[in-house]
Amino acid sequence: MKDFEMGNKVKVARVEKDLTQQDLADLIGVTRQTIGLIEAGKYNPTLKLCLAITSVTGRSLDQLFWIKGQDNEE
Amino acid sequence: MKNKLFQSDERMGAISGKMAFIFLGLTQTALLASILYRSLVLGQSQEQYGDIRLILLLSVFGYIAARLYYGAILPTLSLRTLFFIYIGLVVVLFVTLSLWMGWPDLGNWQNTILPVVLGPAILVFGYGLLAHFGNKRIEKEIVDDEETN
Repeated sequence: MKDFEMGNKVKVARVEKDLTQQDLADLIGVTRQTIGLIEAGKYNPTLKLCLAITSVTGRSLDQLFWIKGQDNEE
Repeated sequence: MKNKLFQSDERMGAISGKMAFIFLGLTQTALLASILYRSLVLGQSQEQYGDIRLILLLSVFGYIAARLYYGAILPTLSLRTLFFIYIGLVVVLFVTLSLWMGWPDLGNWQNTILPVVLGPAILVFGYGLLAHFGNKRIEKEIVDDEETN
């Protein structure tokens, strides 16, 4: 598999929902550090975790995660 | 999750796996170094470090077998193909060893002929089992999943 670099807007979506990293982590069932690393782009979450984040933040998958250099990157 | 003393999630699981992989490699390397030290520096006989050698052998082959089984990456070969591979291995091994160490002493067949016949048999048989059951396991998972959906 090619080494794609992933972008995300988890932080923006989380702040818009007025959630702290810890809140989001608790709602999903992961550690706060995991959320922090995802937001910093230093950890690639599984699809399952991505979907859990979209479910809590009310965003779609492609609004929150994308491959850098592709069309849906803003 | 706040009240839990120890929290775990997929990232920590991935890190645990990575660390286990690294330390397994280091442990196996250390065992190999121990065998070489005992053999070459201390001049110990094979019986004196046989236990370490057995642990290392089980660890290395157990790890490879588990990876191949759970990865199901080995192509399943027919019995006929496995048989020809076995014959090929025996012939190559026999010719190479005969050229290197001379014609085998048939009177001492347990130490000359048997390893050449049995070694490839274990390898080919092990391969056949891993490939067959590994693929069977993954196919069963796919079928079970299709039936569920």
